[in-house]
Amino acid sequence: MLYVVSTAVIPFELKSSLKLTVFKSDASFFNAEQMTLAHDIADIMIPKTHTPGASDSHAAQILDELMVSWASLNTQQQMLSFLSEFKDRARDLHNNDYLLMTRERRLAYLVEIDQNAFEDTTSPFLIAYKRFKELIFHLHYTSKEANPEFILVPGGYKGDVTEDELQAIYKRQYL
Amino acid sequence: MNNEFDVIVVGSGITGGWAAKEFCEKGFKTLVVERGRNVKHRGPEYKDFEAPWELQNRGMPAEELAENGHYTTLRQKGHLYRTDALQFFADDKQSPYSFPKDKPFMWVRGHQLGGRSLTWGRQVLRWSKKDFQANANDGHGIPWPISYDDLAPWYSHVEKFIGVAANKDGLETLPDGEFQPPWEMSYAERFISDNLAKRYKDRHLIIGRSANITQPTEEQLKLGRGKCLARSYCRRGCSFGAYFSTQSATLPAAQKTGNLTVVTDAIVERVDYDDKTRRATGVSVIDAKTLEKRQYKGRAIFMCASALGTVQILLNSKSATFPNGIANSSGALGHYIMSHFTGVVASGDVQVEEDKFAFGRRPIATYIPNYRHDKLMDADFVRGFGFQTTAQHRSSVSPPAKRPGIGIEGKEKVGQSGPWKFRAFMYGEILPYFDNMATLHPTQKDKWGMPILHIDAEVKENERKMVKQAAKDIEEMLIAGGCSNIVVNAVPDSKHIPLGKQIHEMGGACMGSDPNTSVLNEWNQAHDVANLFVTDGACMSSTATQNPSLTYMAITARAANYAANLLKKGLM
Ligand SMILES: Cc1cc2nc3c(=O)[nH]c(=O)nc-3n(C[C@H](O)[C@H](O)[C@H](O)COP(=O)(O)OP(=O)(O)OC[C@H]3O[C@@H](n4cnc5c(N)ncnc54)[C@H](O)[C@@H]3O)c2cc1C
Ligand code: SF4
Repeated sequence: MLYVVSTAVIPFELKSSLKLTVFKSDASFFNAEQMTLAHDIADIMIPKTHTPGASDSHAAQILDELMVSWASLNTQQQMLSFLSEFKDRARDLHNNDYLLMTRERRLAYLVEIDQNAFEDTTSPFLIAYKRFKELIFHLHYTSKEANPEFILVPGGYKGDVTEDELQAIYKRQYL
Repeated sequence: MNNEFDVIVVGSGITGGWAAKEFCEKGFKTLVVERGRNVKHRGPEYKDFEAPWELQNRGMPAEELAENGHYTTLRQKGHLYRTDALQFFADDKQSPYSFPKDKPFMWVRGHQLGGRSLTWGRQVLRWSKKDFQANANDGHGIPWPISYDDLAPWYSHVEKFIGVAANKDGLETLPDGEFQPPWEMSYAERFISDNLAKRYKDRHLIIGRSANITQPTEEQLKLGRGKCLARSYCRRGCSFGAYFSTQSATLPAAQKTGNLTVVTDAIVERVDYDDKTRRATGVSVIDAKTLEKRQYKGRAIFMCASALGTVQILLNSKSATFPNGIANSSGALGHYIMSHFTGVVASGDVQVEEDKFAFGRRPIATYIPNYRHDKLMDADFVRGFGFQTTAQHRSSVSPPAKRPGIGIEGKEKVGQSGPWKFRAFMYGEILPYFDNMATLHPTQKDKWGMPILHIDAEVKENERKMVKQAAKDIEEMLIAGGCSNIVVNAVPDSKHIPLGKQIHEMGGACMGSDPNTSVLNEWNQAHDVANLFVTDGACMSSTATQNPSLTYMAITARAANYAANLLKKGLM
């Protein structure tokens, strides 16, 4: 049986210490619970540093939209199973609900899965994890937030510029 | 609508656009018949102003397309299967073709007004004297009935109109033309080019020659075309009209004359032929939306439906005189199917100074022209190969999406500058083999009732030998160029090399002087049917190694000029 914890049961005072963004209502495809989970995994995978993270680029929310506009039934199912098993495994391994684990423990749990995923190529769960990761990375790194230097119309091509010259061009946003 | 025209042009891609422009400007009432839909220049189908985050599904085509077997060929091309330009590629589920199971052929098509002129890579390279002499010299295929000198003025005619940004490299094997200022090489490309020049007399790394205008002429400006601004979004359609396409250049030029009629969603099923007058009378079309059939009449027919598209129509044009396809008394129709092939991909890191970068998205690669031709040197094959190459930007650390790594550690290195990576892709010349052929499938038809094309073509021993030599050569050149970490991947003999992958399919209705062995004469006129011309890639008697579309355009303009004189004299 799937173990499901409602985001509603996370004690209010814990939310900030858990550094968790809790979604209260269902999104287009994922329910609030799944959205909270997807968003958190994405945020741990690509945290905000001096550059924006997956929360800033709304990678998980966009994934949710793509589940409707892009994903096949198989992929939809794969993502749902992944999120569900992700929680179950956390419970089995750490004897705790993933969403109630500290950020550090959530990170450790994810790092372990990430390492295993590239060693074991047969487990459906790990295959699904890699797929989820690839999608989150794609959505983040094609986002506006992750590409502050993107220039739609460069104006020309220069094949030999120094770093300083390059920065000056980015500043004026045109060759 | 009046159904009678001076000239009927079948297809509106690169060659069809040229035929239409030339005939319209010479005063002939011209009909262009296009199987695909109308695509408006700067219309809603152009996606060139969409940033990566604005593309539908972030560039990823809906998964159900693949699940339901759509775009099989395009999916194999990988980088072309994206939502930025998917609208400009034909879906082979809708327009199927077949091949023997062990010889997959990749036929990438664009079924819309403008054809593949909207999505092409714009590398425009003249052929050299040697290329036109090759068949005669080594005895493979049908000797070309024309020489470089016959085509040279037409190359110039085409280049001036389309706009070619290129450097005058002074190479015998890649003649110079009418050029606008070239794109510049990156620091790393220049470094390799200089190193190769020190080592070799005959191997050159040059900047590609691109149909993206860098200094618009008066004529180009009048057509509404502007300077290229280095976005490299060309295959999405360019709202500046800065690269050459039917929509940006030939169509508006033809339209200005008032002589042009375009019908879209009209699939040419056959060329109609009168056994008594021994003339083509026009074309029969199937309405792509209603399946209704109708006919158009013309004094001259120009086949520009792309090499294999034209072969399909000609084979399907059966009559009492030509039971095996129109203009096929030689039996050569559908034979000598060719395409450039690649069997070697190589890369290396370029050892240059740290503080060197590049800016902008240059819409063309660099190029190593064929340096072998008839020079066998150490080689045990005939003809040769060139390399499409690039080191346009420094590499940067990619996100660990497909490798271990998450969190701050996984993120911090992303985007950091790495070395310049030089990449080279072999483009080989396949020999013209009679038994590489396209036929009509005996039973299968598409949803419009047209027999589908069956393409049975493969590389043979000569090409396999080229692959091995190309692998050795490129490794040697990367070392001489100053690269390290060199990786060379050559396709082993046991692995099929799919033809068509380079999207340069040619042959099927070759030119030649002898009506017994070829379909077309030196003016691209069918030996058997005086008012039928084929000027797309089907007419090619060999492939050389250069990207072919510039040659198709020059051949089309030359043939149109010849046909126009016959029309004026009342001879057609
Ligand atoms: C991604 C890509 C990159 C390329 N890069 C280069 C490059 O760098 N340099 C180069 O030289 N070439 C390049 N090519 C190849 C180039 O696009 C073709 O050589 C060129 O378009 C051929 O011109 P065409 O007029 O013969 O055919 P197309 O441009 O394909 O046009 C044929 C037209 O005929 C229509 N048609 C077909 N059948 C029928 C029918 N039965 N009835 C009515 N209409 C029909 C089609 O719908 C189409 O509009 C590239 C192609 C692609 C797709
Ligand atoms: S690179 Fe030039 S031709 Fe291509 S889309 Fe940009 S402006 Fe247009």
